[in-house]
Amino acid sequence: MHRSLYRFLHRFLRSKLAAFGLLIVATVIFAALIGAWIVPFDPSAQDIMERLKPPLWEGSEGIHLLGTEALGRDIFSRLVVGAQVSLLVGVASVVLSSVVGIGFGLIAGYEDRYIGRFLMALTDIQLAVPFLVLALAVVAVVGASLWNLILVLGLTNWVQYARVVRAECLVLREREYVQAARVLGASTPRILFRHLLPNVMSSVIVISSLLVAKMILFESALSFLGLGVPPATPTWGAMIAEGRNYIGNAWWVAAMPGLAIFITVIGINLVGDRLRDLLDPRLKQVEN
Amino acid sequence: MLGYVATRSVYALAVVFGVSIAVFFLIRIGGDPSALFLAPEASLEEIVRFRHQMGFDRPILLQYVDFLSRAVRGDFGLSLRYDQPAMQLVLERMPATLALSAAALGISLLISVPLAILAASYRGSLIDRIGLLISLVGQSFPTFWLAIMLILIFSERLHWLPPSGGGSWQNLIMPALALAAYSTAIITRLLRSSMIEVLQSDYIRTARGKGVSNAGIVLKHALRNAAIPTLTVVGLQVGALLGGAVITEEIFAYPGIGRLAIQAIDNRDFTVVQAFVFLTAVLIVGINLTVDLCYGLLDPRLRKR
Amino acid sequence: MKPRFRSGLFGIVLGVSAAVTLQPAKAQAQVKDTLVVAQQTDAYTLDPAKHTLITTANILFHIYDVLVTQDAEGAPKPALAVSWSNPDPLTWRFKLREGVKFSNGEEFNADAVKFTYDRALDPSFKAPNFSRIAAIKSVEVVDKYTVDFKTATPFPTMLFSVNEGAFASMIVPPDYLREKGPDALVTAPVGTGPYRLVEWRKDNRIVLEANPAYWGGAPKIARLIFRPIRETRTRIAELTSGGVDIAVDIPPEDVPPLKSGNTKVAAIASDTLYFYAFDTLKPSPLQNKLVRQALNYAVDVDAIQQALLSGMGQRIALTLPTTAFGYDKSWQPYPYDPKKARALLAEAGYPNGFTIPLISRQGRYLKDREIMEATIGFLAKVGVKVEAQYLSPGVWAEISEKKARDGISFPGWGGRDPDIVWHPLLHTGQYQSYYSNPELDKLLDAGRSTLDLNERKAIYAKAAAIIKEEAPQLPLLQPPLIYGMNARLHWQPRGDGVIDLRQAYFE
Repeated sequence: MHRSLYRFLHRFLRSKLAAFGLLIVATVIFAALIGAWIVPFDPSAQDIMERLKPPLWEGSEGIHLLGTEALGRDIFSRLVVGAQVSLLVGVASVVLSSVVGIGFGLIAGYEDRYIGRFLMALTDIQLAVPFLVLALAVVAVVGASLWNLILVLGLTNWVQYARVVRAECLVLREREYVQAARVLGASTPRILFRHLLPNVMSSVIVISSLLVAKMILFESALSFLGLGVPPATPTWGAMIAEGRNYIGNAWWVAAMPGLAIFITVIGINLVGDRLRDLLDPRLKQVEN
Repeated sequence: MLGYVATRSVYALAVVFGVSIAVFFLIRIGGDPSALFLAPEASLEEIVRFRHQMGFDRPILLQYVDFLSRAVRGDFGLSLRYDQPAMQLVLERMPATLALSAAALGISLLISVPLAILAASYRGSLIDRIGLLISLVGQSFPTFWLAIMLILIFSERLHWLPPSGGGSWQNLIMPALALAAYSTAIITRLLRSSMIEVLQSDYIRTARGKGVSNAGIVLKHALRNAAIPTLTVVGLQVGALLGGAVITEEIFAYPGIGRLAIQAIDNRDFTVVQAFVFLTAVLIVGINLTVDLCYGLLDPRLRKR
Repeated sequence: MKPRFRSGLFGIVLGVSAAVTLQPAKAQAQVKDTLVVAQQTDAYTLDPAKHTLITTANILFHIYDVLVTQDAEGAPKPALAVSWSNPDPLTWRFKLREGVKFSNGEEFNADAVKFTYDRALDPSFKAPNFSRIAAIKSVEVVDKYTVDFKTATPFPTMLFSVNEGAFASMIVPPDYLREKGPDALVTAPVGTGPYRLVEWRKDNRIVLEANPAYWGGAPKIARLIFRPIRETRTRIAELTSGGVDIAVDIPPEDVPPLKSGNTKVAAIASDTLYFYAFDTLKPSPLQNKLVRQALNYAVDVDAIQQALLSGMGQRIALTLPTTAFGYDKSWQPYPYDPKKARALLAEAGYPNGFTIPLISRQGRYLKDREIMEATIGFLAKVGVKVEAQYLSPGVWAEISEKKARDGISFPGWGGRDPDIVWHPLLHTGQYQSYYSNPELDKLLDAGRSTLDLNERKAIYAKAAAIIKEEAPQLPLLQPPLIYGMNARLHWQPRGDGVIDLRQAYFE
């Protein structure tokens, strides 16, 4: 196991772009994990007399590396701490949607008649409502909070999982070892989890890695519409959404979190692309 | 074939019906719009009276039956805020959003298709790298950020384009560009990898062996086959475009259905939300159905599935 | 070949030179007679009794008139009513302007006034702004140009119920509605106002043209266009690129750059009040007067105003706009004194502070979120930990209806009379009130049941003293209304947020 992981990593890093992406992602995760202890300022400490100070290289005499925002809070510190919340939103909502989507996909792929058809109809219903509108409606109903946001994002983005997992299961269930397990009297859950699930994991990993990036963008979109995480918790999306009001005179307030999202999403996408190249069996043929 | 079309169509109808049920109950979970609609200084008695007059206090199942019996006759009710038929409000704004989505899709295809073809044909070249960069960057920033940047540059600095409004082609450029960024990235990437796959397949090699010109191979044989998976994604992008239009329309003050939808959700204007969701569902399901059927035509094996 | 080429070249040269010379000539000859206003939202309906939004009212106020409007200082000014009096305490008598016609030729008279109010007061009409005129029991026609408004109890704030701020007070044409049906005004408005509807492209623009026969004299600007642009940045971009002439709700930070070039800025303190309401009805530290006073001492409102609003707006001592009836300039707010706040908290038994919820709506008012976060910062410094929650308007309405604004809330309220502000917010048992004090109730009841101005002033002075001492609220300020404008435009904003372009003109 160790060796195969090492070999996989080795192959992964053969692409310089992917290595760069991994470096970005690792940095962001590092910031999210221990950022709260290393930031120069308390990210929620206000000083409204020190508001909207530009970054150091702009000739500010201040002590704030990336400047301060509308309430005089240190942007750098908020970015570092915001990484935690933004990643949490991204990862937790992806975990939630993958659980829902994989569940739907496994069942629908294994049992292709009544329940399966019904579940696939649900995915089509989900697809027929524009995501943002659905998210807006749900947040308007349940209110905006960190966990509600994760719930909304998670429960509106599982369709891709369901479709891909189902398609793969339809093929897998005809395989000999699955047939054999069934003949030997293995229970349906056992077949689903022991025989089918491990074989769809590579697709799931690829989808997940790319979806995390999308979720971070979705979070910022909802923040823009005023439905993001409450402002006491700094997320990058909320920081841009609030900072856009100062674009005319303090561009850095919105630009810095914008840059953070941009770089992070690029990093995640680079990693995801590489994973897809390595794990997606269809494209693997092409690579070799 | 006819049977296939019929089953698919019935299924599509069922999906739209499912959407309408889901939305009807979903938007009512949080309560009704009475207190929101009346002036802030309205008294409690006034709110209760209004709620009763509007029938919001009736059992929700009864309300649904009422809604359904009207909706099947094409009556989606009056908007609470606008005092006008809800479906008419959505339909009035539909052409603007369709124009925007079409323009955005057009821009995406215009950029992504040639780019993907060139990138796949000349792998590792400069154009391939540019294609990679575009597909990477295009999906890595928030739409609203791009939209605001466009306004800052092309309206405030350069004075080339009007920052807001609708009705002329100038009004369409910036929103369409903002909206197109994401789809361009997705389509470029997908089409490129499909093309690469097809170009390496046996029959293309055979064609090459027979001396068919390179351009001929790429355009005639490879593109057609690579287009199939891309088409599905383009169909799915329509939903994303309509959803993304919510934000673009808001920033560019573009008079489409996205803005109407946001306001209706904020106001709990149920009838408008229902009409909006119904119409977009019909649109999305309809387009995906068409794509499905085209797919069936292109690849007869699929019909049996 | 050659001649053809020459004539072609000549044509091109002619065309280019014509284009070059004509362009500036056209610009010079153009007399600016169209005014474009960018607001946050489009009109929902063109029927004045069917909405509750100032953005809609701003458009409609140019199509319709009211009985009594206001002058630049906010004092009542005759409009469709030329004078008014009180024959008895339960009657307001209005003498109407003669010779006024609706835009469809229908005559304006006492019947139109009665029809307008009867219509909006009928419960089955479901006027959303019913509450602002609800005190009017009936409207009686005395003669063709005299109407009596009857009330059940003396109603001192009647002039606010017939002002444009009441929205449903805009006079509508009875015959037109009887003939075309009750919903006719929704898309085809007919009024006595200075403008007429030309075109309504929904969510895009409403175009009005001047009514040359307007009773107040034809307006100087020939065409008015209202455009809905919600995103602040976009409104500013439209203003600076010359697309609009008035852009509402400019953030204070953007004021300095807009003060030069082709744009200028007009600002006024709004009648809307920013303040925190304390829930004193449910058990919490806020039931203790000392705690409420402490919170008042703990927040540096002046600093907030300086930093977040660039010093714009108006600091208030009590929850009453400085332009309101009965406002006394000698009233002083609690000074910023965190030491005193800590001492009071200790005296009240909370030496280490406490935790309290705070609710507000999402970005409803200018800078409300920033102000709230700044407040939270100040309260944290005296040990009071605030758990803030920002609600969507729907959830806020839901909570309000259950009377569950626990802890501290940021309601936002407006009105230029103590009866309009204090009675609903502080009188025992009122829907929006989270405070109860029998002594104050008596005063508030007395203030609303007499028409005698001096008597009312005296009553509210006493009420003010109680409110100051009891501190059921934390008054902050009247936020500024900031408008970005075309530098050539002459126009004055109003504190109630109504845009009145009757007197506006371009240089």
